[in-house]
Amino acid sequence: MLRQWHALPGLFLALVLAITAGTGAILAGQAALDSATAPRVAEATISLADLAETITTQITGVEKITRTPSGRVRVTHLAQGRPRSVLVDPKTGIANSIDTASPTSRMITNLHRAWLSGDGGRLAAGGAAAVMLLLCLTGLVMLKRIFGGWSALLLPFRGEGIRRWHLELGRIAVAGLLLSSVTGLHMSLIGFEMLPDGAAEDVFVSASGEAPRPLSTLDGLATLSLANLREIILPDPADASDPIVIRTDEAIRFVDVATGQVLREDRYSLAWHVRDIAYRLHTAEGLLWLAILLAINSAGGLVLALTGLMISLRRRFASGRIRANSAASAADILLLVGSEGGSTMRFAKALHRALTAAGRRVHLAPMNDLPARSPASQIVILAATAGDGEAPASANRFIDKLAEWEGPKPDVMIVGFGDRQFPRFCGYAEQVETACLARGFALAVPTERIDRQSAEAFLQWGEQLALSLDLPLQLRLDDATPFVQRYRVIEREDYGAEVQAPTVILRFAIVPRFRLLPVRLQQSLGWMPRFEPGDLVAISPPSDPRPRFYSIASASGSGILEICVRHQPGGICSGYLYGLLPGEEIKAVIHPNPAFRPDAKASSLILIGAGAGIAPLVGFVRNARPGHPVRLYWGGRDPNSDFLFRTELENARSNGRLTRLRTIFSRIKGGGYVQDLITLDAPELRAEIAAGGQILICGGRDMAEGVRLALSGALAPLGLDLPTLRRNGRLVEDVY
Amino acid sequence: MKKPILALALTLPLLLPVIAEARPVRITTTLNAYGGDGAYLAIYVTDKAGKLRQTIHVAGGKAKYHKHLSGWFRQSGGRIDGTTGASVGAGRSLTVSAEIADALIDAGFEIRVDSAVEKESDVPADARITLEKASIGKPSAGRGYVKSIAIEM
Repeated sequence: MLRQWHALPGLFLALVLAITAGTGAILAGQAALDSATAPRVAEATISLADLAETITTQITGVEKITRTPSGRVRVTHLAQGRPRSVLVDPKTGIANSIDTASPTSRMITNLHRAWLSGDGGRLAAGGAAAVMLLLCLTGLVMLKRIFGGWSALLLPFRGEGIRRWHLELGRIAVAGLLLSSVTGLHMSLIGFEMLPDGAAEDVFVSASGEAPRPLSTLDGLATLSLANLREIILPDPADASDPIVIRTDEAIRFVDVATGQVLREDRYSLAWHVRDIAYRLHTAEGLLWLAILLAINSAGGLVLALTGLMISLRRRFASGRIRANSAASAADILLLVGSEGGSTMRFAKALHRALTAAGRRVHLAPMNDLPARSPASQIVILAATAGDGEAPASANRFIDKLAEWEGPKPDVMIVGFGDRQFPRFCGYAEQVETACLARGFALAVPTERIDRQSAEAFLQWGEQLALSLDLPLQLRLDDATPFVQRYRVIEREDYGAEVQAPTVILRFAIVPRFRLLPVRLQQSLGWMPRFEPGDLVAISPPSDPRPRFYSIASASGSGILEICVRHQPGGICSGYLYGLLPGEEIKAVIHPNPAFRPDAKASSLILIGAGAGIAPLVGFVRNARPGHPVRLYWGGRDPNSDFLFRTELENARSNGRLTRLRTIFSRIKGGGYVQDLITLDAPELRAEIAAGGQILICGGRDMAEGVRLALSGALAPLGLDLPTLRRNGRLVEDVY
Repeated sequence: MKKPILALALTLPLLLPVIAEARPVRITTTLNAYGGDGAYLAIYVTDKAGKLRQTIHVAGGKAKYHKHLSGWFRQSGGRIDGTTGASVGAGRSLTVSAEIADALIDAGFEIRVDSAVEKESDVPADARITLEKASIGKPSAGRGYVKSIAIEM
């Protein structure tokens, strides 16, 4: 419900808001520039009597002297029969420059506050402020739900894609946007006279009408200084009874131009001050830091409006109809999805396709649409979690509906989707599990928890499901639009040919999509691929469309894609890559693999790998925080032939980035395999893991099997087993 | 049968002066291309000393800004016994028609225009033109936002 209240007005008004925020950012930027460049004068030492005197001796036909909020002195006068405004030096009264807003600047102002039209436009602008306020408030509550508490809003977090941009920007810009929308709404209500503007009753004060004295001799002016001036309006020369009107920060004063007497002085009302503060805070004129803040936040508001629109549109397309969806009353399997952002739907559709292809009748529906009865023998539930364990939007009535179930109870399988960085990882899936068990439903397989949409974890769970259903399942997740990018080989390093393990380290330059645009710009627009060590790159050889996945050693920030390829005998893709020469180009797609990454909270890292599996591990060593203990265990064949990254690793050890470098080689005398090192170092590793260390394994299946065995043995005395470590994210693997 | 005609014959001379007492005057105010937002204008009739006799037209919708038309506002207190309309853009002109009493024509009265532009100046008595037949076809120049004022009758 909340999401709809956030998304619907947002969708319709995204463009309106984009323009309001965009023009607001420009205006705030102008205000900041104006404040930053305004000259500094000791204003308290300049009396208004002197100021008015010096200015009127330099300039004829002065009508009004204004102190702008940024501290400039602006004089409006009639020059050659035309009203004109100039900026003057308050000490000399000499005009420095003509002050007229450029047509562009006036257009931006009018666009911002009235859509270039009259009252209708003003109403639209006021409406935009009200919508902005609504979006800020609903957005704040959603942020709190997503992050799991107000204090968590300040912590760093990781996410993917446009939604991440929206959330990151949202939590930064919400403060400024709230301020702008509240003050904007206030000004709009005053404009439509729904709130008092606090202006004093119009009073006309008549002066004595006697001959005017020099301005410098008038007491009523001399007792005030430039420091708290707003404006001085000089009398109409044609009207002898017209007094001088002075507005300061606190009061309006009328002074007789003949006697210098204060004829009347009225202090402003509270409502006037409220209006004034709202105006100051909204325009940030003369408030440099606020102006900078508002400029940044409004620019953020522009991006928020556009990313919000994209998220909304994407969700609308993503929730399109499912092909060949069985009716609930005729289904073998109920496939229920509880999703907040719509991304879980991708998994549900893949599962629906695979189960349908395997001959089952599957009914796919939101969790809220759980029917009261069905002949289905299984219920599969894919449940995302909204922040701190709350039900996602399409599942908030599920648990009530479960209570209304009639007839025999099908077996239940639950997959929770979440993010391990949030406090209650897959908290909602746990609630669903509890509710199902309490209602007498049996679990066919243990509930699976999937961290950050890991495709690998989902496919593994699919294997369990296939076993449980006794079905040959072909689960395939297809990305809507794979981001194909070209990469050019710039360097290759050959290893291992002498020991029958031909391996190459390939370094590619990322070829920008647009030759003429600056790479940095393309990066910030998201047109350049983003990856970190441990992510995967999918490469298809020219002769075969099926991609092979390679672990990446480098981070995209370096501009280099670095992988390590072992030429498998008869391997098509590895043969293709092994044959690449500098200058040649490949096409590839990055697949984020957030599950295989060092946990920043781990006390130390234990990296274990063999052969080409070194690639992501080297990347982790490079990224390690200085002083954070990192151990690397790696096995090869011969130190003289296939010691990959040897120089780099030895340097890392000598400069302390790598705490311990343990290598072992199988083709030399007295050699062995990496699991032998694990057994050998068991006591040391035990201590590290007991203290909260994280294990990351990368390499072939056989090696991984051997390492697991050795680790189990090493950990047995602690009473820890590998499944427990894996569940807690303390053991992660990238095994091929 | 003859009585109504008699009545008409008797009353007609009494009515005629009433009809003939006022005549339509067209006033065209042209603004300079001063390059700013639209101007608020007050067009009104005064005597030679500037004393308000009749408000003809106030251009600019927001009553709370009318005080900036200070020459007119000071005397009228914002009361408008004439027509109103939208503010007038820079470089544009505004033509208004008003019934003006014959007694005010060729009797030393004049038409004044006060102008004001947001954030810029207030120009009381920006333009003035004498209400006399001799003024027809002889526009008078303004001193502020008003380029000229012309009358036809």
